[in-house]
Amino acid sequence: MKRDYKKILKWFVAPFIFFIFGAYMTANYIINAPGVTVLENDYDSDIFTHAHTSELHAGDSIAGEFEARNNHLGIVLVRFNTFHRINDDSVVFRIREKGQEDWFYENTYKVDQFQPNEQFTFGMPVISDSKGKEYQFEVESTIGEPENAVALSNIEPVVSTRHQYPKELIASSVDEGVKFLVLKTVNLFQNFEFPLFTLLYFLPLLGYFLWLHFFPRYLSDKYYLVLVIPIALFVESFFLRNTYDIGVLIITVFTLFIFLAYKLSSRVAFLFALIFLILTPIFLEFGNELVAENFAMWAYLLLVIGTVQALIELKRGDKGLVDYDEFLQKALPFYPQKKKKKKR
Amino acid sequence: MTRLYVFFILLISTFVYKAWINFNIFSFSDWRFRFVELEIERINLLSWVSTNDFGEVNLMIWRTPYDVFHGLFGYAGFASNVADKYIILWPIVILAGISSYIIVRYITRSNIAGFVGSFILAYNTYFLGINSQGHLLLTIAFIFGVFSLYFFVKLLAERKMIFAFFTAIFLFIVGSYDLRSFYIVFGIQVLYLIYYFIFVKNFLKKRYVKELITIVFPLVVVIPLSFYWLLPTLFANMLTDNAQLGRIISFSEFYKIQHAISLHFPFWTGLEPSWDQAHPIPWYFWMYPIFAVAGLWVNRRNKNIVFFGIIALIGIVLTKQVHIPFPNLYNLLYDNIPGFNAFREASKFYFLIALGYAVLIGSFIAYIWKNWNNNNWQVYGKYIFTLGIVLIALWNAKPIITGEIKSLFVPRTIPGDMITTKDFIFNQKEYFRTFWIHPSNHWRITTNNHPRIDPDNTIQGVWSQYLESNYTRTTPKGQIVMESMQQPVMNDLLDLHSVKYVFLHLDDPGTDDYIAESYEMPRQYFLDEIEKLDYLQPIDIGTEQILAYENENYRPHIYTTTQKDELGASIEFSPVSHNQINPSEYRLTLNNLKEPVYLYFTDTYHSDWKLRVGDFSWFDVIVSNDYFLDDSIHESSSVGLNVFRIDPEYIASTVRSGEYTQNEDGSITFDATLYFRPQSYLYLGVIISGATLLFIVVGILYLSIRNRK
Repeated sequence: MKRDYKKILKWFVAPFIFFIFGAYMTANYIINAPGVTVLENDYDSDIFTHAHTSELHAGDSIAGEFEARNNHLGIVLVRFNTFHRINDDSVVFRIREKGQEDWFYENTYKVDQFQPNEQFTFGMPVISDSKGKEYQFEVESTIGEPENAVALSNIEPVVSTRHQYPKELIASSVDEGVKFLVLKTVNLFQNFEFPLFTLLYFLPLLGYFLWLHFFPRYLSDKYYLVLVIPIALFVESFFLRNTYDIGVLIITVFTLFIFLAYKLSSRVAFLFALIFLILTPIFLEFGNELVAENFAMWAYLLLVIGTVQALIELKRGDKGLVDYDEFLQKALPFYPQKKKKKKR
Repeated sequence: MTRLYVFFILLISTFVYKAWINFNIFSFSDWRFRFVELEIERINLLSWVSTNDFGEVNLMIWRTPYDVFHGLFGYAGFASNVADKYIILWPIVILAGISSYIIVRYITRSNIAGFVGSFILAYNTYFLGINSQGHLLLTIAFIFGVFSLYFFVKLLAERKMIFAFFTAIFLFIVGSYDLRSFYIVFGIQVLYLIYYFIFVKNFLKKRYVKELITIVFPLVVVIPLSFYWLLPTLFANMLTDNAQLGRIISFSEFYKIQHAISLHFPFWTGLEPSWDQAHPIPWYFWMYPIFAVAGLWVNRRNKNIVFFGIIALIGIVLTKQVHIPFPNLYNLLYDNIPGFNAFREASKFYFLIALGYAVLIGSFIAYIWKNWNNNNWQVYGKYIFTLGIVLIALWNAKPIITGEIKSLFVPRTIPGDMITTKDFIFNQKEYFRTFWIHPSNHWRITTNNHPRIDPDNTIQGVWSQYLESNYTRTTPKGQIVMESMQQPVMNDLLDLHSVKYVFLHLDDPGTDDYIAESYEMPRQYFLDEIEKLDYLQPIDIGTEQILAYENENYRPHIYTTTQKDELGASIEFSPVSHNQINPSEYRLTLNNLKEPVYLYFTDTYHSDWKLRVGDFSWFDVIVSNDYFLDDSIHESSSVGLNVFRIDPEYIASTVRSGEYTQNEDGSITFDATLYFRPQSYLYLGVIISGATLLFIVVGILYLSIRNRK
């Protein structure tokens, strides 16, 4: 009876909790970014017909053209560089359908509300039949001056559009509802972040099954698998623009769990942290601040992991742990192997 | 050997801060010079300060001991340029390096580690950056905090009561300089205590329970030591008024993880700090975290060093404020952790990083000096690493040595006009306020009897609700001020707020203080515009750069009227004879009251201003009920000042007959005390804190003598 109870807990209750967590967090992601009934499309920088990434001074403007990929266009997002200061300028945003003489919408915005290297939302009346049509937009500085102005950011995507589908339309018929559901699903997977975060949110479930079934049988001696973590963090640093607290926390806990499962010494985490620490100033020097910031973040989190491991080692001792050199020998075939001392 | 290291630390520090080794006057940004007249007044214990604007709750009440020290220098005839040297600047010069040396040396058991660690902490760009801006109290508080931490670590290791006393007394000093530093240092100690019990000793074992009292003593005794500010804050309405705690999180765009982890203050330029943007991190700053990780790497089995690694990691995650990782964490702490909302920006947590790195890097240096002796490479390596990290830290001090940092390292001279104006104002005994159209950035002529007000807090502050304003953000400040001065209501505002003189300070040659620059309008514009103000009469006080004007019909500090005195109402008023005991307490005499009158007191309205008729004792304020006249007679005037409606019938019916005199014509005469209630709690708190402090000092003396025997 007791064994049955444990089995249920192990194979059904615990996985169910992890599944609910993953499903809840994914649903939460869909609701919050950018909204359930909103479709978002990103555009490459080549849509600009007139652009420069230096400061926009009074009279300077940037202009671009894009073809709307969906109906109900209501927002154009443009990413600006504020140079990490509060600027006093105001910019005029204008948009019209290509070929039209008059601007469809025009408004002035204070740039002191722009966040550094984040997209600013230029809202406008929703265009219900926008799909397939080409639009021209312009952003012009009114009083920008040297060291008191914003510039176009060089972080992709610089421009995105949002399409706000009316809830009434979606709810009007099963046909419309299904149509939107398909559009939304496709749209979510076009966005790089969605599959990544979905994977992240289901990582505890995945990790649990790995630990329960696969790890003791197939993975416990495959040390090279640990290297997937720093490599993934390295690659991810080039793409991730928005970080969510819970996502970072999951990765940190998952990494700690992997290090503990492989019985690695705290020095392995410190070694990875050092690599990221050394990479950070290199990328800063080359002007890639976003990547450098991500590297600094992972360096920090690996230090936290290493310190937590060090605390565990202080409490339990470090006997039987795999130190960094032993780990490198086991994980990298080309790493010089230490000769075993002959027993006399 | 220790003496040699201390000698070199002091020698280098004296060389770096040579600009401060004198009695010159320094005044820049938030650091202001105070004339001797104001210094003398700081000896008063104050829950209400009236030197600026219209008076306010003493938001910096925890600085009372620090203020009293300044007051003592004032009584000796010295202005703030002398007191500052003894109380702040020279202690920074002497103690910054020594404090960090002793703690790093104690933890690593290595002199060379202490030597290297002292440079990491003493010359970190956060300390140097805020020092240039005048936030020196934070720096000196953190330095004393290091001493408190040192004795606390020693206390837990050696369990000697004398270390408990030293921990407490240094913690008290930290709190007297800056409460936020106290919060951080106290937090580290609580965390260390918990860490100690979990990772170092199991306190559940019997013999440790016995020693628990000694260990916890400094963290408990700090409560009565803090009563002097805790009591008035908790038992009066001072906490709710504390604007310091209600400010929004700011400067978020500047604090990022790359700056925090590299111990680079974002405003540090290597020359004069620039506060408008985050500056690039020079490559050599990355040596700090790399060496710190190396320290953790080789000393991960040392419990104390791992603890300081944790301190650095906590410092990093807090200092990056709302940036990655965990961008919502700071807001969460700010909204939910009591006291955390005193940190509207995260720079103070740089101290945790600097302290943690000092220990970690020191521990790495200790390791290589102990273990790298096997071949020439190792021997050269340890010298290169040690010298390299010391030079990197010392390089931060370069702009101070060369004078490129300017700011608070440039001596100033008081302009003759300022001294003439000061004498003109302070030689007058009566109470009045002065309004400075363009206040000096460096010199503040103000006392409790002659408070100074300026446009920032009036025209662009509390008076803006009475003034017409259609200005944009780009309107020059000078234009806003001068056009506001021309509005008819301005004359009434100056009258009702007891402003006797208006001064137009033009330029301060030799400094960066020019009216055309700070007010964005030509100098002549102000000369032309002020001539148009017919409610002001020009007077000649013998100055060139300061123009003086007299405002007639201004109200006394305390006066009565038969009708409400409001904006636009031209009514008669009668001064009330009074004696100021201190800015929180006034003794008045109201003569021949026959009809109800309005008693005006031209300080900012606060519900804790009370009126007592008859004998007065500050202690009775705490223990007696209904000690003051009913609160219903006290209200805010139309311009936010205090007004009491005094009805002779009400006085006769509620006050004992001996406490007023019934005159033959039916009128009454009585003495009264106008009192700010939290002042009594301040007195009580000072007595308790003082007694506790005395107990600790006696304890230290007793234990020192006993140990010698």
